[in-house]
Amino acid sequence: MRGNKLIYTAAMIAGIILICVSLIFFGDEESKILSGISIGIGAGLFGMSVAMLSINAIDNKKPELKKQNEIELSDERNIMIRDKAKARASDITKPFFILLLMLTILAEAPLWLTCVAIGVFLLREIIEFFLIFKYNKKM
Amino acid sequence: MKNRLEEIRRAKGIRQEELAKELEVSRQTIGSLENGRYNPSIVLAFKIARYFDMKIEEIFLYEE
Repeated sequence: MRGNKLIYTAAMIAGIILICVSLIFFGDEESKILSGISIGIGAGLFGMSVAMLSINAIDNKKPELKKQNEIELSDERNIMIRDKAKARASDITKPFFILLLMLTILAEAPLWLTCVAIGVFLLREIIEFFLIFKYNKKM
Repeated sequence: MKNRLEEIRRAKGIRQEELAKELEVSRQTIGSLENGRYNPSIVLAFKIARYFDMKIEEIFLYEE
């Protein structure tokens, strides 16, 4: 728990630094994309860390609630529901991703953007096959 | 798969919340088991059977 607290505090500080850096150093038009990415990652890190630290604080004050949350998290039906929902969401969004990929070609987006999109799509497929292979051996 | 979980639990005078707490599962899982919407893993089936000091097949009824 203490280790987690340190990690989340560090992530929160990193998030604040990222936001500050992007606001101070990337103000001009040329570094707009870099600034956007920094703010996005910084805000994400900050938000996640604050949320996790708050959850930890509540858990420490109310041990019975912590126990209940742990049960909910490790409950086999809940795990199955979460895994199934994630898998279904991934399957449903797959055609949209292909559509997005085609849009980058039709909209004559920069080649690197199309390549990155294809790379991400291929990575997803490779991970899926790797996991099928892994679970086939494991189960 | 059909089961007699609700009948057995009621006969013992145990609430769903209490059973869930003893088995370390959510109350919704107990509800879903009783409604027949969810089939438990073999581990949970054993836990339930041991909790009631019964055999698995006395609680869970397998029908082809």
